[in-house]
Order: sequence, then C-alpha cells, then structure tokens
Amino acid sequence: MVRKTSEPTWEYNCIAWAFHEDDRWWWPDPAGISYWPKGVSREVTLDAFIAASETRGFEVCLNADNEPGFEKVVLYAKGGVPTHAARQLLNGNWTSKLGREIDVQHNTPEALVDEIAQLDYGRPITYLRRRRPE
Amino acid sequence: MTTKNFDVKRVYEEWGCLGKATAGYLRPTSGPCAWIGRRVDNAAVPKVTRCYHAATKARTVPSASAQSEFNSLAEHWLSDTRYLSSIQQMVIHPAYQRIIGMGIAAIPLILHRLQKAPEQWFWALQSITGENPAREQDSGRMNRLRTAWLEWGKQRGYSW
Repeated sequence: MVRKTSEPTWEYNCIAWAFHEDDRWWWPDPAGISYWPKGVSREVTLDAFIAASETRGFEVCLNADNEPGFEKVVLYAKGGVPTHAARQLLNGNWTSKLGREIDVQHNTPEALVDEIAQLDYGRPITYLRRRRPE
Repeated sequence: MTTKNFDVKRVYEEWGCLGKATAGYLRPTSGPCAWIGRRVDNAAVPKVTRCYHAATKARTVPSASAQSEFNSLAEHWLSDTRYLSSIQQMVIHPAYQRIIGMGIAAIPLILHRLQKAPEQWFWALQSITGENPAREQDSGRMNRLRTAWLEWGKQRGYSW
C-alpha cells in the first residue's frame, strides 16, 4: 500500500529526501543547477550515486531487510541508469519523494513501482546502509 | 496600417511592442536595428541615435499567441515530468526544448512563471542567455535560484 505523507513541493527531491534533506534538490546535472556532493562525479551512474551516498556514511549492502541499528536507502534504476531513491523508516516501511510531487510511504521498495503505474523508475537495484545514531 | 516604409501591424507583431513608450517611432520590417524611425502619422521627426525597438526587443511581454504557445508547452512539460528527479530527463522533453528554441522571447514568460513558483526553468534560462547569476553554494535551493534569476531579469530590464 502506498500512502501520501506530504504536499507537493519543488524544494527537494527523492535523493535529498533519502539523505534526510528537505531544502535542496540533489542531482548530478552538468550545469550545476542541482546540489551534488563536492568531489563526486556529476554523472548519472550507479557508481556516482553510491559515491554520493558514501559522503553521508552509507555503504552498499545486500538487501532491503530491516536490520536493527541500521538505516537503509535503496536506489532504483532503469536500464542501469539511476532514477529514484527511497529511505527505510524505523518501522521497516519506506519513504519516497516523487519528483516535485508528494512524499509517500510504501511497505517495500517494490511496492512503490508496482502500485503506481505512472512511475517510470525501473526497479530497486542497489541497497545501502549506515548505522543509525545511538 | 501601412506607411511609406513599413507595415505597422507587422512591426508590432514581430517585436511584441506594447506601443506606449514608442510614441510612433517604428522600426522597418527589415534592415539594421540602427535604422532611424518615422512617426506613424508621417510627420517629420528629429533623428534619433538608436532604434527604441532594438533596445527593448523581447524585454517586454510577448504577443498573446507567443504567450499561449509558451503556456501550452509549459503545462505539457510539467504534466509529463511531474515524477522525475533527473534534470537531464526533464530538460530533454520536446516541449522544454521547444521553449528553449523560442530564444529570448521566452525569457519574460519564464520569469513570469518563476515569479509564481520555483519551477525548473534554470536550465532553459542558462541555455538561452549563456549566463548563470546563481551562487555556487545555492545549487539545488530552488527558491534562491529563483530569486537570483528574477533579480537578473530586473537588472537586464525585463518586465513580466
């Protein structure tokens, strides 16, 4: 089940939201319009997105399972090209910001793209995790 | 209405002139911008040093048909890209590319939309103008980018 949790806004996007930011748009555009961590390649590749996540303390992990003490992020890709990210909540559900539209919560990474046909995000492809603060 | 040297209606359509400040001075439908105008009523006028219309081209609100086309393209683009995070995917949309293709005529229309909401027009503005008034530390902060471009528009003499 996918549930709306915010109003639409241009202020931030899915990548920002996955990394706990709600006041800027993250994306590796070559014109420098969007925020992207310094020192990380401005390329729309999984490697660049993983490198961006590493600047926030994440590392690649195996799956979306809810592991006590860890926070997880999932990257979606279509044809190997990153399109979207979602973040796992303490209760094991996931939160996503849909472009400039709303935030939603979904039970699994797959549920988002399975239940909203308009989303052209491809599939969940890479999982990341970091230790939650004590 | 046609004078000896030019067609008034055509001039107004081409330059999107609102007609108030020009006081009857016209630019020919062809020829260099420095061409000296003539009053609509054909009365003799002192020579002027530059063409008013050339100096203000596209800094005023474009014609109703240009506005209509722009708004239609903008709504089409917004509808098709609503769930995207990718700037590259957003700007490659055909409607967005057509707006960029409108060139400087699109600038007051874009600024008008930016005044209302921080939509992603920054790529188009950079593409059309070759400029970027935003500070590097404001990357991704849509309202700050919007403010920077609206200020840029005022400084360049655009009205919207």
